[in-house]
Amino acid sequence: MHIADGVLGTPVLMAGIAMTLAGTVLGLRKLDDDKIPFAAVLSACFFVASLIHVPLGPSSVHLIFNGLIGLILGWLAFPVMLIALVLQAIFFGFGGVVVLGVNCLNIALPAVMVGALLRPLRHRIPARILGFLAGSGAVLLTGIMVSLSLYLSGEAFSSTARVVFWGNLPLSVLEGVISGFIIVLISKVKPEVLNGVQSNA
Amino acid sequence: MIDALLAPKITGEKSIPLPVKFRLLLIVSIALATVLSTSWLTLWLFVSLDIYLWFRSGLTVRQTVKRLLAMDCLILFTVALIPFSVSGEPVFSLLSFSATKPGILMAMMILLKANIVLLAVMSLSAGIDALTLGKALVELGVSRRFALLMQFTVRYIEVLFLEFHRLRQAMKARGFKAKNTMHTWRSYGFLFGMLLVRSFDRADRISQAMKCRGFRGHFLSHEKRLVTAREYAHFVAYLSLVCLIFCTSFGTFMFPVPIT
Repeated sequence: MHIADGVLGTPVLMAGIAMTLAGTVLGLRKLDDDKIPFAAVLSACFFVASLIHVPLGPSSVHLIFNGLIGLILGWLAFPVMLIALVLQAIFFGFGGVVVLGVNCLNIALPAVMVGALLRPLRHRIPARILGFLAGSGAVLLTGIMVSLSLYLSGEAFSSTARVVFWGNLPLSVLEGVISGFIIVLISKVKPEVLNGVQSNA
Repeated sequence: MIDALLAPKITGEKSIPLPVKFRLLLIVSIALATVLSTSWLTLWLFVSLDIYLWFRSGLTVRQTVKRLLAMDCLILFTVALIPFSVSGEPVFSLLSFSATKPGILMAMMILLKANIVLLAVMSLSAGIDALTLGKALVELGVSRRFALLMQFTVRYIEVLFLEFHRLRQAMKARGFKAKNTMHTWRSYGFLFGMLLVRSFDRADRISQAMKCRGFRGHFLSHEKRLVTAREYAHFVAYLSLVCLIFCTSFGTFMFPVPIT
């Protein structure tokens, strides 16, 4: 999912930076000062979880968790994802610098959308379904946005964009299945996690 | 991997004598100039600047090549189809799809640009740990909340990684092996879920402990480090060099030279 520097066109890059900036400012406004340690621990948790590889077919993949982040953290998904991507870009060398805005937008916007849609339903639909919809929906949207950013950058990327979209489908199913199990466990062990950080502040 | 966040392998002595905030500005300006330029000459000049910065950074050849190659594998996947999608003079064909010369050149330029940016990031960020990074971001005018969130996040990444290892070890002790089965995915789901639940409990405890100690969203002491005239001079020199190299890109707009 990381797009490197030098790939995307300038208008796409600028739009990504502007929208990520707006989302991050909005997210930080929703965070109370004394809730910062709380949000940080959850942000660290998702960072660690996304480093872990899960077997799929002949290889292994890591999950993005943006569906769950959206469900639990809401608009905070923007600052949390931006921090994760900055840390990865500088300390692990994944992704680029100028493209940071687009990469963050592609992951955080689906998170916010999924969170806003599914959060009101969290007590009405079964936990497994809720998790599956959140996980697979967010990754599916991310795949669409990544292919769209490639597609809008020029004719040359149209076939790459298509490959990214189709290749992303199995990942979104796996993310949905595992997110389903995660929500099943959480709703049994500690259902108040699903109330999120913003609402119980 | 995680230790890179907390304890950089290179100490600051050998690396480029610039304050962290100036290094970040240089990274952004090199990245921006590289992404925006379209001439090969400009890009090769940036490569030479990168090599100079790399020499000054004290990184070893081994770790540099390892990280560059890891990223190149990802980019190759992105650019692999470009030679076949751009129209132009065909060079070779593969399964009835023909690769064109402009397509190959475009793919190579993207690869070069990505490597320039990564090498600049690696060389200039050598010796910076995540906490210094947070401080430098505040000095550059980034929101204090953002920097604080980042510093706390980094602090707990290591703690939660240890927590994950404890859970994983417990699974291994019970004979768990990762396979392509629903059982594996369910176990991973429960593992992640448990990690989240424990993080939530820990976050609550930390929040309350911080409140007991009078935390209201910011740290009270801030050590300020003054920037010397020599460091300013260095920074201005580097920045002018980047601008100068970037200007060579405009030369090709005024005197268009066909790409060879």
